[in-house]
Amino acid sequence: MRSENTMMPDRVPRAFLFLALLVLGAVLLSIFVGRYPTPYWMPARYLWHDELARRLVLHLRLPRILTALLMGMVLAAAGTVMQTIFRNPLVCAGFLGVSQGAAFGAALSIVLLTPSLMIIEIFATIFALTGLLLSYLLAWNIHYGDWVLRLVLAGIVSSALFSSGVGVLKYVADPLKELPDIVFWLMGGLWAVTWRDLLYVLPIAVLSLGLLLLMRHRLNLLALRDDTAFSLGVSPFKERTVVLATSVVGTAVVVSIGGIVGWVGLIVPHIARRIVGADAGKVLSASMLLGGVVALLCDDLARTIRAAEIPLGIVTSLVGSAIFMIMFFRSDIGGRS
Amino acid sequence: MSTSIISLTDLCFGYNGREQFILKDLSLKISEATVTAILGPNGSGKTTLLSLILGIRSPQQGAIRIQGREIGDYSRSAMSRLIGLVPQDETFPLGLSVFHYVLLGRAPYRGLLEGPKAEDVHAASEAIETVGLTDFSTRLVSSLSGGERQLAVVARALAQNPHVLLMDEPTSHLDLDNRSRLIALIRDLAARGVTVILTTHDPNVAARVANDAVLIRRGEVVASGAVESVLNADNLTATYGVPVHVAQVYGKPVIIVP
Repeated sequence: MRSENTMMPDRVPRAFLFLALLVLGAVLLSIFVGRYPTPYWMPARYLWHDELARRLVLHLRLPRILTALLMGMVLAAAGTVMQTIFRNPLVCAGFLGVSQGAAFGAALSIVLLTPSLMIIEIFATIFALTGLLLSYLLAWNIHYGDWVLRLVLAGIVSSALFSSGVGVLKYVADPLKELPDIVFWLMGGLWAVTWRDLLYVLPIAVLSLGLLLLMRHRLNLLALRDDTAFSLGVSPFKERTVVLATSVVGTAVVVSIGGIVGWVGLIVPHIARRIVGADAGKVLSASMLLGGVVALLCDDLARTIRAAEIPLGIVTSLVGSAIFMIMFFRSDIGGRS
Repeated sequence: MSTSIISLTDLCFGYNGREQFILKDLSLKISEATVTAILGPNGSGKTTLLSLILGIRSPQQGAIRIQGREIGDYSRSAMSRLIGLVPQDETFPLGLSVFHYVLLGRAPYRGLLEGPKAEDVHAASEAIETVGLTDFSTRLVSSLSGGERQLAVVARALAQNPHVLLMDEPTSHLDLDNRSRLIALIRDLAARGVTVILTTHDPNVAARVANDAVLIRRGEVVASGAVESVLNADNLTATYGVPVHVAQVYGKPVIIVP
C-alpha cells in the first residue's frame, strides 16, 4: 500500500547500474594505465601494433586487474558482513585479527614448510578463523565499555598478538629466502600475480562471494538479539557462524595472494550505505562492486606512480584513512544515534 | 470464558541444568484473545518463563502446549508464525529505517534465501500504521525517541502476524503518554484476537491492561486468575514482601506501597 516507504525505489536500481558501469570503466582504464611504454598511460593503438604491449596486458595486467577486483570485492563483502552482524561500524577483517591471523598463517607456513600456494592458503585460512574467534571471545570477556568498543579493543589485541607472532617469524626466518616473502604479506601487493595464482584463489573467493550474496537477506536478521532472531525463525548461532566463516575464508584466500590490504573492508560498506540505504542485502551487493573498484584503482596507483612499486596495502591505508577521517568529521560514521 | 490457547503443566527449569530450579512446578492456563500479566519481584523468573513459551529454552520437566499440541511438535517455522516477541531491550541493526526494521518481522513468511515480496511490504506498512508510526517509517530507528522505538518493536512483532505476543516489560522505559498509548494498543490487539502475555514490575499497569494476572515469587505461582481478584493486598504483600495497599479508583484497583 505505502510502498513508497521503501525509500526512493527507483534510486536504488540506478545506483546499481552506476556501480556496474563504474566497475567496467575501472577495468578498461586499468588496462591502459601503467609504466609501459611511457609512464602513466598506454595509448590504445599499442594493442594493435606492439607485440610486447599485447603480451604485457594479457599476461601481467589482466590477471592483476582481475585479482585486485576480486580482492576488493571479498574484503568489502567481509567488512559489510562483520559490521552488520557485530552491529559495529568500526570493524572489518583488518580490525578483527582476521587479516593479521591470515598473514601469520602464511608466514608460519613459509618458515616451517616449503609451501605451495595451496598450503599457504590453508594456513592463512586456519589462522584467520582463529583470529576472529579470539577477538570474539576476548570481546565477550572484557569488562570495559560497550559492545562496539569491546570488539574494537579485542580486535586490536588479537591483531597485535598475530603481528608479534609474525615479528618472531621474521626474526627466525632465513633473511635471503624466507624473509622477503614474509615482508610481502605485511605490506600487501599484487606485483607477482599470474593467471595461475588467480585460478588458485578464484574458486574459493567466488564461492564465498556467491554464498554471501545468497544469504544477503538474512544479514539484518542476524544483527538482532538472539531471542528476537529466534522468534522470527532464525537460528542465530548457526547462521551467524556460516556467514562469518564464509567471509573469513574468502578474506584468508585473497590475503594469501595479496597480503594484508587494509581499510577497504572498513570504508567501502559506509560509502555503499550512503548510496543504497541501510538494507544489508543491498549494501552487500553495492559493497562488492564498489570494493572491487576501490581496490583496483588503488592498485593502479600502486603500480603507476613510481617506477618501483608502492605496496598496495600502503596505498589503501593512505586512501582509506583519509576517507575515514572525512566521513568521521561529516558524522557519516556512528554520528547519528 | 474462552478456551485456553497455552497450557503449562508442572514446569521446572534451571539454567545450566542445575538442580536449583528458577521455575518450580509451575502450572498455568492462558485464555485465547486475552491479556495476561506476569508479575513478580526481580529475578522471580518472569523473563525465563517467556523464553520457555517462545521455545528458545526447554524446561527440564513439565510440558508446554500451544493450541493443544506439545511445543516440540511444532516446526521452527510454524512456531515463528505463531508467537511473536517484544524483548525488553531490542537491539537494532546498524542504520536501519523504521520500515526496513519492521519488514524483518516478515522473515517467518519467506524462504531462507528469499527477499521481501509485495505482501510483506504491505503487511509491514499495515503494522506501522497500527502502531501509529506511519509518518516515521523512513526515519532511522536510531533517531527515534524511546517510546517511538518501543512502538517500532511492537510493529515488527505485529508484522509477523502472531497468534500469541510475548512482551517483556513493554512499558518500563516509557513516559506516561507513551505508556497509555501502548496500553491502548495492547487492549486493541486482544480485541482483534491476539493473545498477549506480558511481564511487568508495575501492578498498576497490570491492572489497567490485563484480563488475567499471575503472581510469581521465586519461580512459584503465588496466585493467578482474573486481575481484579488476584491483585489484592494479601497476594501482593506475599509476592513482594512489602506491605501493599489496594485502593479502588474508577472501579479499577490502584496499588499503593505506603
